[in-house]
Amino acid sequence: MKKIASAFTVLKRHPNALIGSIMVTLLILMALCAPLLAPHDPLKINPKNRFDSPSITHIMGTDEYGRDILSRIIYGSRTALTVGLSATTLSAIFGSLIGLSCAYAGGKVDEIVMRFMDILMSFPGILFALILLAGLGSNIGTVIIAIATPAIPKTARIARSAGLAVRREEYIEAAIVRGDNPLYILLVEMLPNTIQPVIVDASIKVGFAILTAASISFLGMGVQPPTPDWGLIVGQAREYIFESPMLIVWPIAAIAVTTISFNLLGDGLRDILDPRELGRI
Amino acid sequence: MSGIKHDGITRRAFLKGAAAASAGLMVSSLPGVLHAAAAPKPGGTFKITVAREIKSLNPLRHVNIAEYMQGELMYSGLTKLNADMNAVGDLAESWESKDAVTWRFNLRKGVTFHNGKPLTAADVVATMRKLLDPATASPGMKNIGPVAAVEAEGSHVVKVTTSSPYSFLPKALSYPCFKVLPEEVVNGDFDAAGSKDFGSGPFRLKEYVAGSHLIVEKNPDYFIPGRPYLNEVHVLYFPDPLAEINALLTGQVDMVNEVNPAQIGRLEKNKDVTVMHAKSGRFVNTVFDCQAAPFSDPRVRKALTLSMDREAALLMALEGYGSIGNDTPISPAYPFYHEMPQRQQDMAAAAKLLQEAGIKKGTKLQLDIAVSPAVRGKLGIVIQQAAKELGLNVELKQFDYSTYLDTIWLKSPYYVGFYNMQSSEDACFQLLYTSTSPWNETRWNNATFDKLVIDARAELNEDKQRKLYADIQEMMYEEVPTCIPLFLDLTCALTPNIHDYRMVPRGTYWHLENVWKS
Repeated sequence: MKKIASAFTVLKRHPNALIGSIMVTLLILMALCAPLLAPHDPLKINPKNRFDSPSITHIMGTDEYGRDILSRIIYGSRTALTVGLSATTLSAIFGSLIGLSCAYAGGKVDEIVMRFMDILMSFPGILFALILLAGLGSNIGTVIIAIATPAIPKTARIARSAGLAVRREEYIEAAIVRGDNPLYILLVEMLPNTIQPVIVDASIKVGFAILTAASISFLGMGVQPPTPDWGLIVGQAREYIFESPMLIVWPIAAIAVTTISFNLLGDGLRDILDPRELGRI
Repeated sequence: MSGIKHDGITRRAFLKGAAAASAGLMVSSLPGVLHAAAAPKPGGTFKITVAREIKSLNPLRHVNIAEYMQGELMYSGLTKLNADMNAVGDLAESWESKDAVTWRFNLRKGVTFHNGKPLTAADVVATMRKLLDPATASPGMKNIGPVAAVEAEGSHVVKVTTSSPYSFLPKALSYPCFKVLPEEVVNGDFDAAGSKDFGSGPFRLKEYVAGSHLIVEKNPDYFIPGRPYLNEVHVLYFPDPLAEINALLTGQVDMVNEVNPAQIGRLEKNKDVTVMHAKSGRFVNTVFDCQAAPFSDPRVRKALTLSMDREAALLMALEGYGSIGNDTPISPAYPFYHEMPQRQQDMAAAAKLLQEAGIKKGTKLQLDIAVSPAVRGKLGIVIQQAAKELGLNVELKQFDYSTYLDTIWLKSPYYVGFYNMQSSEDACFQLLYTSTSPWNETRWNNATFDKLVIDARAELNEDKQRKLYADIQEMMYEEVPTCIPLFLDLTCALTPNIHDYRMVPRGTYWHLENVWKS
């Protein structure tokens, strides 16, 4: 109880984090409870109700197949969050492991692995994703890998620089002298002391991952129709931009709100986890 | 239903065609024509957009609409199709045949290629032999009819012999790949035709930038005096349908060759644009591999066909700009269209057929779809939702167009196809549905059907031929080797200062030599 209370005290001092965490919580709830929240089947086509204007039955109106837009937006949060969260988690895990290993090993290993990371980083992320998708085929798993991979080098750099500072600490030297298993040193000694910047970085990256996923879907390379996905809805609605402009506005608003929520959360986390700030708790 | 009936041309006249040199002048009283209020005025630049890329200037290698347009602008063939889908002479002035086996095509006199060389029968013969040579690998090889031999009789008569009686020969020879090149190019540096102009058509090559545009200029020595009217034609490649429409609306171009159905409503409201439609035989279909389970069971094919809500498909996939098909590739735009009871959605009958065929609820089927044109994907969604009501789980798998061509087309057991109207019923069956056809995608391989098609093409009595084609269509309707739910309208949009443009339902001829700008 005390911990929760103190968390609230901290959050109150950081409105960014407060708003961000509330919105992210709501989004996750929306994705989890989509079948309960959505008023209609998001896939059910209805030739008689094409391009309906917003009404009580269809709060955001209907699309070119007569499907309920609100239901599609609600269901769309599932693919967005799945891709955003899993891609970021993947890149955070692999990035921090690679970064810490380099920091720990140093020397040639560090040099070679980090140059390889530089090469990967110099490649435009979306281009990399499109090449990977063209090769492996479009499905949600590939999309997650395609977004996670180009994000690894940056996380690795952050983890490495944090790791280098820790590496010189006496307790690490002591562990090495003690003859601890390097894996143990990495995961138990170094990781907990370097994880903060990685978490802050990851929370901001979720928003970008969702944005990239939407771009990939917009280009038709991501999840496939008729799956309700925000980027895909924008891509398909483009054809009807003059006939029914709102069709494109709703999913864009959803993408924007989600991205902003994660950015606020990330910003807030950065402030909170700032060492100077931590001292005040 | 049969709004377009056979135009009453007698068999004798049919086999004895002539060049309708005045075709462009006598058209203004016919429907679907932009009225020519004033006398044609020469001059002007005409800019037209196309959605496909011109990859080669060599007509014998042409595969898409943009290339066909270039071929028609720069080259001449033996025959062409007019707006009524009849064969009219291009280089051929007239033709005749007594038995539909031996044909004599009389060439126009005084035709010269753009390089000044006079055109003779030897050029036609050399080109035709080149086209038929498997080593050329021309897409037109199997599409110009059962040509057994071709030879020159004197300087201006071409004798064509078919392997069996074939009344459709003049139509089949209009295939857009068959354009005449000079003999010395055909037998010499043939590959030069990929980037140079060796034609005798109404326009000459001025500039060609691959992936961007083609500019052709008036050929002052064209064989029809006074034509073409236009000084220049620009063929502009626009891969994005919205950008194409915007170019028309902002006056950047004069015509959009094919309008995306989603944009038609908006254009029709615009007074500065004329939208033209033509009922066509272009169709979109679901292809079943009749030799692969579960589609090898006709009951499964029929059940899936019966589940289709065609009205909904027409609305959602084409915004209503098309017509409903009856599972044969022959639309009312073909002369031998046979009217049959319209197949309607019948979920109860479909469910019963599936049960009889032993297909369990929840069976998964993968439907492969190319992303272009968009109508395929839209039809896929309608199919999927209909199948869901039957308890089938149809999974849509999308492929980009080139991957589709490489790995899905003619190979996958269940996919969405898309085909242009052909020059004749025979051309359509021979292209897609007989067991020896080059694109035998259904692998139906029905010997009775094959024989009927051969009998029908060789039949010279029109009533008997009509009966044979009716039998063929009924057979396809009963056995459903493919589900053809929709025929697409051809739709183009142009500015009102463009005159005498007529749409040909086949979609591969433009007759731009007759068009003028005020």
